[in-house]
Amino acid sequence: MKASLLHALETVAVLAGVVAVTFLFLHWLPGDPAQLYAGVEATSEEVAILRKQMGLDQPVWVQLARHAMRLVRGDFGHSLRSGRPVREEIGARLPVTLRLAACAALIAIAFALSAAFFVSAHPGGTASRILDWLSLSVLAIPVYWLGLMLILIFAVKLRWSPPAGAETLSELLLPALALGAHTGASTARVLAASLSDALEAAYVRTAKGKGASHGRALFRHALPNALIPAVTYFFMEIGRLLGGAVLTETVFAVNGIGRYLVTSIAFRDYPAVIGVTFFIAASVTLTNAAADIACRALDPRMRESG
Amino acid sequence: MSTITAGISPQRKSHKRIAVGAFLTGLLVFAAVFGPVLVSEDPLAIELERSLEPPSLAHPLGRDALGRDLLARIVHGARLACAVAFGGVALGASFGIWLGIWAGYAGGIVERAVMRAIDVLMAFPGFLLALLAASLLGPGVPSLVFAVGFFSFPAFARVARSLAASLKGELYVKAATALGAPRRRILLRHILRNAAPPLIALVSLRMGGAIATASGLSFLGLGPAPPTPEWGAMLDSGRAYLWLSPRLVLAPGLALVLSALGFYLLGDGLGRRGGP
Repeated sequence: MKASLLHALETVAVLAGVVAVTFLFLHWLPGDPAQLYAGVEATSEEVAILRKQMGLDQPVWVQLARHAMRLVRGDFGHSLRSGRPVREEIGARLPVTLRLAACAALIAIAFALSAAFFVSAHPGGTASRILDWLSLSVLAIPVYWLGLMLILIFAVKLRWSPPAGAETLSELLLPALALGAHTGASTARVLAASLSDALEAAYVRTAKGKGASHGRALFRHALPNALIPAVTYFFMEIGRLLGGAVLTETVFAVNGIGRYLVTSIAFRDYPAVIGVTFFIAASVTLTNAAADIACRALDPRMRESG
Repeated sequence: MSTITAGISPQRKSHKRIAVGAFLTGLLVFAAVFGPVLVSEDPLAIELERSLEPPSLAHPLGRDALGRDLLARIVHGARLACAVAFGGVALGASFGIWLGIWAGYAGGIVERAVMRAIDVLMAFPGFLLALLAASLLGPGVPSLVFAVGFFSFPAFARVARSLAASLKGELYVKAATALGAPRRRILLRHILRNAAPPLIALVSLRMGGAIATASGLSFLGLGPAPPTPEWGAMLDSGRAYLWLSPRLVLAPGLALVLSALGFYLLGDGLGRRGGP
């Protein structure tokens, strides 16, 4: 109980740090935010009034406190491009990104599980060497180039799928494959390693000695233990999926929050940049906290050690 | 990082991957150093009338949309990729390792405070961190180097901290402390020197990530301005011709993949051995 309270406090501290980092980013930006808001044609009096309205004449710590209050309330300000609240802009694009990330996660899990099972059926053989080199090679392929290659092969040459978009399931397949490949390859490495350790453990040998079949030893005894590090690792990968969405959405012209971030940077729409960044970092922090709680619930050993 | 080093039994032979990794990395460094001398074509010379000319003996990779020699651009791009990756990782590694061993050796509240600050940065997906850093400075090569450094230092700090914290308990460190050696000397001679092998493996792994990250930023338009031959920017301009001449996307992409794979194999192999 005490340990989980401490973890909750740490999560809050990390979130506070994320708020501080986004504030520093705004603070260090070259140029005057009031000037940016007012536009290039504004007179110096108009800019001065806006500075006062935005609280930019206040001490830095007051500005930081106000910034934190706004972010916690979910008020990310108004987009400099559209004039609409950034929260609405994110809300309109979020479902697309979440759908893409969820499909990528499913592909990654399917690949990791099947690769790890395949390798565990032939321990120490060619299969594990193939997975080893294959996964390293996949990790060396940048997400955006993988996306372009998938478009080239499946949309341009074979004409099996549309080259852009993520609305229908057939459109979603290529971007999800590009986005999920890295996570699938690295999770497969982690799972294969923990599974081969578990299969050599004493409790699995005992079970086999008592006459358990390979399947039973694998699914009933080895897998539940081997899954714990892989699940922990997989949750850490959620951040990578959201970060990779920035490039994947750009390659496949998907109108999600990743591409919104890129175009906002190009237009120097800083309220939008801060809004999306804070949203992603806060989601990653909260997902990791949730994963931690889930692992504690699943694994009694972690509860005891705190 | 753990993404790559985690996995498969560590006692597996590492010679082959070190050899292949060293070969690919050597190829990249060779292309970066001697390539621009061996390929005499100007990577910036525009010949619009020879736009998208297919490969020939004189121009093995053909020409791009503006009629520039593709091979010359790849080779000059290798120089830029090397410079950005080496510069950025050197920046991130030196700052991160120093912060990590300092915090790990100091222990107590200092260690906790530094680690929580690292946790905050780790909450941002790595590429997002690089994207923010690059957008602070605006497009250009210095911004790529800074972004790569900023994106890699938390990982170095984290690994160096845990290495320093475990080395702190070693007898020779305790002896040096008891003999009154200055902290600087303990950190450099006793802790850094013994933590070096895994850190060098991490440098190699991060170099692979740095090449992909820097090109990713250029792909999004945050790299050096247009005529500069940069692999990510070449992919971005080449993807408009994916139908007409896919080699504009294939060539820089393969260069990226082989370079990153070289560093990954080298780092993975060195990591398995417990360092060089």
